[in-house]
Amino acid sequence: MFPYLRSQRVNLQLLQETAARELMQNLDSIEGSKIIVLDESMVGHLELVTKPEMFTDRGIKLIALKPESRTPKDVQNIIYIVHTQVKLMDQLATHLKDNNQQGRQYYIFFVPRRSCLCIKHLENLDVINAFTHIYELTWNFFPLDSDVVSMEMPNAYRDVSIDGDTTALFQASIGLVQLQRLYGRIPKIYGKGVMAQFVWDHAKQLAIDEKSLYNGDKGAIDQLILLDRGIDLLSPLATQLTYEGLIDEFYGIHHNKLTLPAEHFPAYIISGSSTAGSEDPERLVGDKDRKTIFLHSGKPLYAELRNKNFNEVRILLARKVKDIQAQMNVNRQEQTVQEIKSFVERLPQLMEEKKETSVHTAIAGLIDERINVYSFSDDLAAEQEFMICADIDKSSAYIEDQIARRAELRNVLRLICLQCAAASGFKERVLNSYKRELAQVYGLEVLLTISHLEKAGLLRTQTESRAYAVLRKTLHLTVDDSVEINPKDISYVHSFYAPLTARLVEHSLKPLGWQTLKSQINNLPGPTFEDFQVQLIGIGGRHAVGATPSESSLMHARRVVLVFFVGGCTFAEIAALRFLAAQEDNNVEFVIATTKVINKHSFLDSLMSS
Amino acid sequence: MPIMNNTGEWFKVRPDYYRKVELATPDWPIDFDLEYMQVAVAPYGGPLAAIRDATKLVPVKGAARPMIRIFDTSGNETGHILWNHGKLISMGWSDTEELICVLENAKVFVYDLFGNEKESYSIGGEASVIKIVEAKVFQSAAGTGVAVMTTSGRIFLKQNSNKTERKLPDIPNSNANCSCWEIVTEGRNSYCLLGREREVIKLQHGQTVGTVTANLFEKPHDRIIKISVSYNHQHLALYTNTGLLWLGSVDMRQKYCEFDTGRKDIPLQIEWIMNTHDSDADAVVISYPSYLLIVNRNADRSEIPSDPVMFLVAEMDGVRIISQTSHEMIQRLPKCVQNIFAVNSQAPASYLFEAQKKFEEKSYKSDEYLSMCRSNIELAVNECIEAAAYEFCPETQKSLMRTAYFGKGFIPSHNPEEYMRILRILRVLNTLRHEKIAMPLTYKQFSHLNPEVILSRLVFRKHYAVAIQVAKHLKLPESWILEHWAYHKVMNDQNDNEVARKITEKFKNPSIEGISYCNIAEKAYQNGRSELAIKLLELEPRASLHVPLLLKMGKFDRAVASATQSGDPELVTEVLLEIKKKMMLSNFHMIIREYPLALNMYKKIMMESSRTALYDIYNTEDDHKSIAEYHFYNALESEGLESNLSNIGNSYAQGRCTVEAELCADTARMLKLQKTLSTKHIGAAEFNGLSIHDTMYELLKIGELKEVEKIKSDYKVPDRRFWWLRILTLAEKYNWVELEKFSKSKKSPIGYEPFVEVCLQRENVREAQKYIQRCPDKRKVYWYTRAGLYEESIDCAFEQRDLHSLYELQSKMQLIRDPVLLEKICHYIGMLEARR
Repeated sequence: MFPYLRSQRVNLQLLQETAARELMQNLDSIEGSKIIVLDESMVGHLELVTKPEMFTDRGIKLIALKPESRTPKDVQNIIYIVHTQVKLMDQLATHLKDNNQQGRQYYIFFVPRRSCLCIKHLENLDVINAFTHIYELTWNFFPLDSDVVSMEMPNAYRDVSIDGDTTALFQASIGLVQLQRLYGRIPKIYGKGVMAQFVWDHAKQLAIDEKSLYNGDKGAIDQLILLDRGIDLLSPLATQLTYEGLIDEFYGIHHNKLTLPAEHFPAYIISGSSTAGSEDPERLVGDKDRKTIFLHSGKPLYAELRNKNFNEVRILLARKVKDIQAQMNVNRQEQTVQEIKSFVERLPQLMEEKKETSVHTAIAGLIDERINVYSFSDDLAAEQEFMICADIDKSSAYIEDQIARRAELRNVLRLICLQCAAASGFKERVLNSYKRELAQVYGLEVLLTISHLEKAGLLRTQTESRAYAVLRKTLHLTVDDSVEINPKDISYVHSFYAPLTARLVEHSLKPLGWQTLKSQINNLPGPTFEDFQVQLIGIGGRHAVGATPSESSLMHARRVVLVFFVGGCTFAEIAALRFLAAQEDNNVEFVIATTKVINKHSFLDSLMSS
Repeated sequence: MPIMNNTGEWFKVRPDYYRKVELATPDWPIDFDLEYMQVAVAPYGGPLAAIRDATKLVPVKGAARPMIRIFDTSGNETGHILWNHGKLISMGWSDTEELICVLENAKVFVYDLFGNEKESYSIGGEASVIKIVEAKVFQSAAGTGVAVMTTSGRIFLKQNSNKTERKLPDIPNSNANCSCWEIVTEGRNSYCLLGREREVIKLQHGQTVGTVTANLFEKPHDRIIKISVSYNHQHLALYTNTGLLWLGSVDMRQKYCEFDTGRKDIPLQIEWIMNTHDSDADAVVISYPSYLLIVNRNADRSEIPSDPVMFLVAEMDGVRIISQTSHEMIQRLPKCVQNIFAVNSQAPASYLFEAQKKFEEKSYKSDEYLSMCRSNIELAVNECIEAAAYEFCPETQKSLMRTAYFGKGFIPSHNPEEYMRILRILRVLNTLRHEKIAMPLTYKQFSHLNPEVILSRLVFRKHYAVAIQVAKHLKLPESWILEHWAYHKVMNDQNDNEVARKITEKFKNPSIEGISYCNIAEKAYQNGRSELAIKLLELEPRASLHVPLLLKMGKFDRAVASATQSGDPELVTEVLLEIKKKMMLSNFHMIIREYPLALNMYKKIMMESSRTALYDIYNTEDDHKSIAEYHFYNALESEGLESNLSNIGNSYAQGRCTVEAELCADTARMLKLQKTLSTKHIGAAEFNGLSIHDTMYELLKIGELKEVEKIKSDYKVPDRRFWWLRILTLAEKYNWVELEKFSKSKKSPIGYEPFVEVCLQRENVREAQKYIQRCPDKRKVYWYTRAGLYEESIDCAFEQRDLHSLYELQSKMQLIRDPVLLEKICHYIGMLEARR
């Protein structure tokens, strides 16, 4: 049902099927005709693990939780699938009261777990008794692609760092236990950072009772690396230069989907895609003037392009177009009948390729326009100056100019935070002058935003160690002779800067890698830790003897490493890891887990909101 | 053929063999004499309850008050009940080893085997009003029930305390008294069989009258005096005053035999002997004082002399005989045992047994015996294993198992599972039969009860160590046994530290799974031992499990601690909501401020529900910055920033946020200034609420340069920004003359690139060009290109010998297809490359 999730070692289809089964079993246990009411953010989540057919086959209709959405009169059961957010409960209660009918049954499915706050709120709203049953859908990780799972919690980093609310981390711990239940015990664990440690400690604590995990052989995943977003705040703020990263930054990729105004695409592409089922959940929030494009590895062309530097994408697309043209325009008269036959057979595929190519040419064209704006390249130049630690201890003239010109606040703050990350903190004088400048130009309210950024660690005063400057040298975070086309190093994802997180993973792959790294990354915030989950030796003791060699004898096989970005990661970081996996020498496969795929805009937005 | 001493206790009741097996001899207390006792014995080697028989004349010893004493089969007293409830009619044991005592007034008391009262109830109905004369405790598929016969001759059944009593139909023509009665169960129903004169009457619930069956006997007699139903409720034995015995099916349709015992004395008891190999019975045992008589369906007999007083206990596979000096069991000889040990046995197992013995003696005859059973060796081995299971003597068990072990060596690919299983079970059975445990069970009983029940019986008898060993041996879960042990410790040991220490010692064994300190702590709390409960909770590593009990105990502080320790924000929230209801707010604050996670979650909850509560918390924590921000947010929401600024600023200052405090003061001043400005420039511009920068901008737009310069110095606006402001506003007004003048007024602190930029923004290339010339050399190429002045750009790049820029320009020219410029570039590039 989700062919693009399929893979050999850690098949994420399993995760999707488990999630879908959980929902369907609960649904099937409710008798009578049903309708599902979804909170709007749930729509995308649901699409990641279910197909519309699953609902149409059962005769279940999906509607969005909106004040104006009405439920048909003849439906016996109304099922609300909602996130555990208190503010959704008001909507839910109103919707319920508006659609209340005699003899109807109501249910709530909370994702990812029930919450006493929500229930209490429903009590206060005096609707709790209307519900026949309250279920939980313990969905913590959603599969995005064959190698990426996401918790789809955009505010994870913000909640933890600003509010001290560790819900996201605890859910991550639960998620890790769930993953191990599906894919087996992970024998080796490395990690860095406070949040990472929290996640691991609690995952371990929660797994105490999972005896079966520890009695069996090791699972499909050989290693887990937990990386705290807090150790590298520069990478998520930097402009990504991969194709996928740029698409996300300019237009936003949500649940593997990109939505763009239809006018940018040739008419035949738009008409071709509207055949999707009418019950498609996306239709709930759909819009006829917009075109939705699915972006995942199920699309061969996109799979090829997504992780490339945009400069290479231009070339590849041009080549592709030429290629297709060549194939279409061969002189048929000179061909034998056989040749023509084989051409005709390949025609549908060729047409599909052509369609895909034209879609991506259109997208690339849109990106090209946005990139060729001077402000884009000026910002990029400033960023890159920071990355190489040029003049980093003074307040930056570029930023001051931007403030003076009253440029967009978010971008100004981004540049300041980026400078701060590169400088590993400001001198107090510099920070104060920025504060003064910002307040004088953007008004006093900006102080509240700054306070958030300070709590989140994005703005801070200098400490003794200059972690970034040191690591830039020792881990080669910036590469002088970087190339963007056919690169040899992961630094291509930001033109010449290699994301620290990806570099850490790269180094940990080497023999004794983590041991060597440990001393190097001491200056980064938070603890460095490692852990092992060995097989428990049973009373018989028979298994344990046989188990040790089998675990080590797999050394020559490809290692599978689960890299968990606690607090979010960017598409550029994902691209860097995919690049590492593609290098034969590394002999490694990655599964990437994150609280949410973020970019410079979405990351700052989550931190700035009050 | 082998002659074994094992055969000594065998006796024949044609055509079958029976045997009497000696179990561990009971060691009754000196003051205990069965002769004067009314006794009730539980099956499955269960306990024995005895009370002085009021109908017998007894030499009074010890206390005069009646007492029920409870013993195990070895004669150890496990408990006693000082009887003060009135006249006891009957006692019996339930299938869960509870002692059921029925009183004359139809009250029923239930005790455990230690003599602790568990419950009491009344039979109810008519039985409570009229006294009862006789009572019987009977087993049925629905559990253990009680039947009573009232003085009026009516019979009532009651299954248990929750069910209502059932009255059986009246006895027809009830002018003559019944001599004996028995309860029979059939599926889930029970009915009563009564012996009266020469008839048997069947009383079944739901029928209006009883059915009478007469003329069962051929020989003359006056009345039936004993009636006995087999353990499986299939067979019936009747005994007359003339010593006649009638054996037949329980429905009395089939008569097996009528047997004249020739005795005139009244038998003590009659019990059917259930077969060992199937659930049927072929013989009865009748006990007379000092004498046992065994009679089978074929009317063959055998007799055994015995102690003067004895009690027969019907088991599922035999009859136990308890007397003052011995404890024995009569059972039908299992076929396999007979095959091996019988004189002249030709069975392969018998040969194998002999072969093994000779083998041990290192005799060549071993091979001869072996060859006689070689073709049937598998059968022989299996028979030996089976026989071992039936044996009571460990030596015999061993020799049989040794034989099986010897024999299985001759079977290729023999499956040892059964051998292993029996071996394990035998060890357990031998342990159970030991006098300390005193649960003499046969293999069949063991299999029927199943190990879990046996473990729970062991646990109930507080044989924890043995229970754990048995569980280990049979590979059954053992943690619950430990848990019971711990409960026991909690209830009985008064030293908190000692109990906690002992329990951890036992629990820390890693092989023990799924054991929870919390359950034990809960028990401790129920027993009023809060201190111990907390000690035990501290031992539980999963902090989340502590919370419910701690909340129940009112230990809110610890509940918060445990919840935060678990790291589960949901649990923390739950605890917070719970305890906030029950505590003073100030105490609540005091508690949660110790726990950051709890504090954070509380703040988060309050943020959404009641912001003022936050203020209290910030106050208790002296978090002045947060207080400032709290006021700030409130001010923004109520649009009353101005009146609150001093408040906000003060809080900032207290929180050592100097810059923020200064900025508040600046803003306050600015707001004042804006008012005057607004009145001054009424109609021309509106300033209220603008930032300092924007105020300057608005003023510049209306040309108030003086005011702007004053603000600049008052608010320490940096030169750079001032210049930008000037440039931007001038360009906005297309005031190029003024712009140029301004550019020449002083050396620009921001360079001349911004000038270029603003000109280009307004698409004034000519003006821009002026400023490009004043830009630093290395930036000129960039600005020329941006201005679209490619020729200048190319020249400039060439002057700078900037090959890189030339290449870039080259590709750009290719795009815009300007052949002249392209040629020029190529020329320059050629020159520069040549010079390298």
